Amino acid sequence: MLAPALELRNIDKAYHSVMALNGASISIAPGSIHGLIGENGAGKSSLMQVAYGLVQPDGGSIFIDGAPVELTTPLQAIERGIGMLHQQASWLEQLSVFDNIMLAEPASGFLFQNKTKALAKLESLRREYGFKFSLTTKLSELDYSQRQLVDVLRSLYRGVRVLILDEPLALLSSTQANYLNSLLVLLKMQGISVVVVSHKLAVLHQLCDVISVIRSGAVTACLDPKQVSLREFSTHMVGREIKLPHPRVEPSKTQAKTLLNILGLGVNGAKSGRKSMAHPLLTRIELSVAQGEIVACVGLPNAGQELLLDVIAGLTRFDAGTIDLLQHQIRVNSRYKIKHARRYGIAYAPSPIFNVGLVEQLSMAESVYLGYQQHGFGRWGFASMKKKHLQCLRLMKDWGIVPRLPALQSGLFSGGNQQKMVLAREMSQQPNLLLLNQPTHGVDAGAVETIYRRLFGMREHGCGILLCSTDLDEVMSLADKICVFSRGRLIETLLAKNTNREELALLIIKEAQHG
Amino acid sequence: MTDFSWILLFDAAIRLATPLLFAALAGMLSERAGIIDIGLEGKMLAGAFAAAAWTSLSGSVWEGVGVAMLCGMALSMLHGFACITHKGDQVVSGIAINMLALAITSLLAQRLFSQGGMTPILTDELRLPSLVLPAVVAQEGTWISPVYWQLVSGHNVLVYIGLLLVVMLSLFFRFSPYGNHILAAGENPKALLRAGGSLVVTRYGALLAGGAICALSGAFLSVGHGAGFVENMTVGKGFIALAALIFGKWRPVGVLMSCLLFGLLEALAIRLQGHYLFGDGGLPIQLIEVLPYVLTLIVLAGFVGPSHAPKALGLRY
Amino acid sequence: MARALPWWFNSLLLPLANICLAFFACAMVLWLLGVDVAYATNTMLDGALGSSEGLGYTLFYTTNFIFAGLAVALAWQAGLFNIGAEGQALIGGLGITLMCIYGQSLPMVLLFPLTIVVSALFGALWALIPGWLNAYRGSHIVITTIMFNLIASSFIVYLLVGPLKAPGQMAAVSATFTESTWLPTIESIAWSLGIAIDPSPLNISFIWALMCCAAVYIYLWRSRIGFETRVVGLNARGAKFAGIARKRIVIITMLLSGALAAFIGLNEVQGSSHQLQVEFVSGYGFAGIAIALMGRNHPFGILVASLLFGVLYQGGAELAFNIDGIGNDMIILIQALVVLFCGALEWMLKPSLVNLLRLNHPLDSKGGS
Repeated sequence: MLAPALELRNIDKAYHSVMALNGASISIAPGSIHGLIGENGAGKSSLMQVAYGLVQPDGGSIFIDGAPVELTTPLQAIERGIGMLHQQASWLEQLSVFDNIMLAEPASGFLFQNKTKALAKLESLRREYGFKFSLTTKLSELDYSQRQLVDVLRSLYRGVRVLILDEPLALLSSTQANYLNSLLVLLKMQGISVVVVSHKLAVLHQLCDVISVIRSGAVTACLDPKQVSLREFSTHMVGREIKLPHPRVEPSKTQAKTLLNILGLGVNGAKSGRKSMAHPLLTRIELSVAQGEIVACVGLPNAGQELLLDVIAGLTRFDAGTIDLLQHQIRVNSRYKIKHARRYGIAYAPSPIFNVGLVEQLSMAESVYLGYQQHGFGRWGFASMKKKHLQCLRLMKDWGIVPRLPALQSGLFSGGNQQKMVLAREMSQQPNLLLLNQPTHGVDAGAVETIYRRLFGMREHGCGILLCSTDLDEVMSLADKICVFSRGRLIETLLAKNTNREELALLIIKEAQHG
Repeated sequence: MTDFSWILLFDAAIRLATPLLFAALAGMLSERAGIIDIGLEGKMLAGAFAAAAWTSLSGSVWEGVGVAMLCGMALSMLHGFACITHKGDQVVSGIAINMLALAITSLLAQRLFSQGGMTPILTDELRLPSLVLPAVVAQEGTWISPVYWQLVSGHNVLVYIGLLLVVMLSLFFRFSPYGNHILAAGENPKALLRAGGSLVVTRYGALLAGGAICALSGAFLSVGHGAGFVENMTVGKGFIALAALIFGKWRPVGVLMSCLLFGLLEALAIRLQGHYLFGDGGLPIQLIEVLPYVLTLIVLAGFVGPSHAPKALGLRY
Repeated sequence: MARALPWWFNSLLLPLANICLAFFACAMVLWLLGVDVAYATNTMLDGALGSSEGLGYTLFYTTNFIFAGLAVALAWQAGLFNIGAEGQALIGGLGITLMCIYGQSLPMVLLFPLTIVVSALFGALWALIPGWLNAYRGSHIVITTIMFNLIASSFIVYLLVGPLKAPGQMAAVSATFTESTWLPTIESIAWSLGIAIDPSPLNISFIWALMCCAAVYIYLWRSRIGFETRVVGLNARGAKFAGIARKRIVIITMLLSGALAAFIGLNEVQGSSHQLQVEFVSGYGFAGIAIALMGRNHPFGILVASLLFGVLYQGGAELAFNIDGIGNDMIILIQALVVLFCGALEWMLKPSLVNLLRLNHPLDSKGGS
């Protein structure tokens, strides 16, 4: 049996005190298409960065064609036949295709490159694969899928034998995606191994010979799509560890008045270069939240549900539609900011992954009124620390935040405790509408119970809750209504009691096939 | 002003633009590679002192220029050490270099020569020569003759080197792969890293080249145009060079044009000293003096089009 | 990340180590230049602290450093690098000059508050445009403030050779103010209390400097705007999330910073030279940066750093009598080294110190709790 073209064994990598990779292993057979799939933060990008020499592992080993190697820079990886396509930001817009490909190519001279040889070889490669762009075109004139092909061409020029593609399909139309897939099959037939890192399980299921699933820094499964159904895959991939689902608490009142009503909401993507590179980020969203209702938004990452929260909170502008918030109507050109949102009774606990809810150098006491400065400071804008100190202690006791030192910098608390403080702060404002993004990320199991209990408590008091979560168990435990997002659209709204976790997972993944 | 000579004015402009040019080109190299360089003033000063001092001690002006370039490179290495290796604040580092240069040159000047912070006055043999170009245009009596002999020929050798440098750098950025590396380091460092290039090597290289070039600026002041080093003789020229860099949109030819413009303004201000604009009782000449600064502000305010600064300028990597 | 390190590491130990390194490097340079470092240190300390005259001069310089340091530090708390302290001080000095000329008949108890207000206004005005350019046009504040320094210099020179020129003088200075506008010196106050100390330019603006220290502290750590300022400086995205308008904060901060810088004029122009000269600000802009870095942008640290630099300045002047021309340059050298080691290379010693004190913690394999 042939040695694997590329093998990573027991790779460990820690960033500060978080293990991004924990004994991850993957083996790529020569001449195959290998998929790598997992949640955001599961470690797929990190693992491939190790394979490409961008990142040094703390432990583990790398083998190419069975022989152990050390990769300290991408140059060494390239010299050994490993190539990598990144999702974004690998191109120099003002240079030509040729210059982009030849960037950092060691063979070229100091002042003047040996252009003719390189040109000839590239031109023949280009024709062989049928790429339509010319080598002298400026990169700014190519669209996203063509730029990917430039990267492929560069890898081919350098004699790639294992080509890694990091999220190649996310920004492609279906025609472009099909073209790329057939190109990958062509490469496979020529003996080049291809690794595709993606969320799009449905596409990978059709394309790959084998798919590895990565979760929490380790590869937990390596399965043959021909023998494992899409449904079984989804149970491996979507959601965190199976927890005993929390029993649902039914709302005790019937529908009360509508707190939030969104009509026709749209957010355009940013334009870059001459051709617009991104499709619209949100299109024609219609959603409502009533008093005492918990609505959950689910979907693949970047499907738009998290952006929606930012829009409702006033952090991002929207380009179409209206937002009705109690008696206020917010239109497209109104200068709606987060301070208005808070004035209207919205509280927002942002995703802990982005570290926006707290400022790590501020003490916990000072963070207690972050966003609510008007409550933290007296009438003349001055305040003693006592008030903040006491409020902070109160919240710490209430929510079990340790250590109980309000003067300690918030960045020194554990992630879970930081998140508890953010939730405590937002919930203590008694909002009309509470926005939550990944509310229990990094929080220990006992605290999760407390949080859910409090959420139900708030619901009893007539608060409406709109949350985003990738944890489907959490969604099933909390939500009355579930909205499924895909590619910037709200594709389905269901009542929680009419569905279950597996169906939900399937719905999310299947949608990726279309579009 | 009956004795006003445009040719003399432009001649002076070229002379005044030269130190700006070297410094601005040095800044261009560094900033194109993504490192902010506020320390141009310091390197100029260090180059000025090193050239004058070494020439005075060794008797050879070209040796002095060489030592000046080494000093410029040493200061650049320090900047690189702080910014690249230790990811320090680039602005603070530049300011530290300015202050260091000022302090050390003054200290050394006093200790070595005891002349109140100056180096001994250099005689003509110990200064950089002027170049008289061959008589390509020989006709006397035509209008082009004085233009050629006054304006084009007869400048200090460093002036011509400066112009040559502009041409070389233009070619370098267009044709050399290392030029592309520097562009990548400043526009999209990730692209360079992923293509297998080394960000560290590229940036240090750009800084070192810039340091040597910037020192030439100071050398021109002390042993080219001037006859020795005077304490703090660069007084603000380094910052004007920075302004010229911004005004010139970080491109060699643009930088040349803006340096000439600023040189012209300075020449005008000197020429008109004691007079007023537009006759007596008019506007003070300080208005012309501050024109380069005001122009820079207008450019920075984005009123002359979007910023052409390298996109990754100042980001820590 | 600072996660596993005790709080005093970054706030006290590392800065202290950096300062020691700066002084050590300075001593090295001097030693290389053939200076007897021990003798130099002795002379300096004696000159600065050994007599009431020396102490008076030391505190006089300290006053300037306090204002300069506060100006830079306040702006830095908002993430802004205000190099324009010199220009702002010059224009503030202009305001003071005008006030002293046109208000010369006012009693000091009215005049002093007025000069404070006027200098603050003038200095703030000079900082307004760079601040606005940064907030609304994204212009780099370092370059804009440097440009404004240069413009201020030209402007003041123009005024001093023209409209404000002292009659009958060759030098570019303004007329000397009438004595009633001169700030009372500490020495004269002590004398009226029956205490005899040697005369020095130390004046009541020193008291004002101390009050400003307290005011800046209260502003940054007890007031709402100060809090928002710090958040803007620490985490731009967090500031947006907290509903803080960065543009507003930038403008307010620059105005205050300019005002603080302008107070240097109170000490120098109204309190010491009693006339407007171009050079009165020279060096204080960069000194302010060194002080702010040394004092970690905290008013208390700035007070200590200003005292230290005051000692160096006065001691250096004393040294200049004894050793040929060392004094002033040495001050600039130590300032440069402070900016280098406490600013540009501030993290350089961290790994070595962490290893030395054995503060590395084992990896925490749990992601959170």
